[in-house]
Amino acid sequence: MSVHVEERSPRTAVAVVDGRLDLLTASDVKRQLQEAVASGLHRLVVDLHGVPFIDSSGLGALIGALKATRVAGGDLRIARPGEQVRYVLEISMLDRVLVCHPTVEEALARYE
Amino acid sequence: MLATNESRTLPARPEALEALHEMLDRFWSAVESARGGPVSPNPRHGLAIAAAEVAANIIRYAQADSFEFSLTLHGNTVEARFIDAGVPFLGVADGHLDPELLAEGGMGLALAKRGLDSFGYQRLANQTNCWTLVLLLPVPT
Repeated sequence: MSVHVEERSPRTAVAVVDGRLDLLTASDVKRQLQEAVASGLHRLVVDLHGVPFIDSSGLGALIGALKATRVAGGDLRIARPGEQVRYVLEISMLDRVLVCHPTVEEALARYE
Repeated sequence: MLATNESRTLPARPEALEALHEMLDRFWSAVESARGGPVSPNPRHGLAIAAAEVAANIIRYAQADSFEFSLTLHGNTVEARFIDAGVPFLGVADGHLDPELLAEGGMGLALAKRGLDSFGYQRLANQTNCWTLVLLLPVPT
């Protein structure tokens, strides 16, 4: 699993996550996303194209990061979720708060 | 050879999740071969998330050294079973999902139930925990 955070503007970044986002990896992903927020990147787009599987621990990591962005006056949006990620967001009803976009560019555009 | 019934004993550690996903992939290949066609994605996703959540629950809370994970196809019914010799499960297997709460935890078993046709836990007389996950597949056309 890896997380690569790419700054796109002074307050906005794209975090590209690769690998399963589950019990084994969620705490590390959460820590890296929260470090990005703490460094001033309050508007995050999390690109999940490279995530083949997410579980409740992974959802918890995203929710934790979402709350951190909101406390800092920003937001977190999901880009390019795969089929399994979309399925889990739907059955958990978390697609209501973790808003998904088909492309990174579309997610970024919502911050403009 | 692909088998529509498979059982393995896995360590009750997070590393076991890799083996669990590999078992599921092999099992679905065998099921598709036996049924003569692909299984649609949602039943596969439903079983995968349920199995991962139950395994995570055992790893986190059962205080067991290992657990047995088995997968079986009977007709159009898939049954997954977890057995461990850990402490009894005392939580609520009928959890609630409320996205507005923005909860970071406590949703695993509620999520597990969502994609299954039946989900149950029993503390057996031999002092083991048994989780049974059942999925009914559509009849092949």
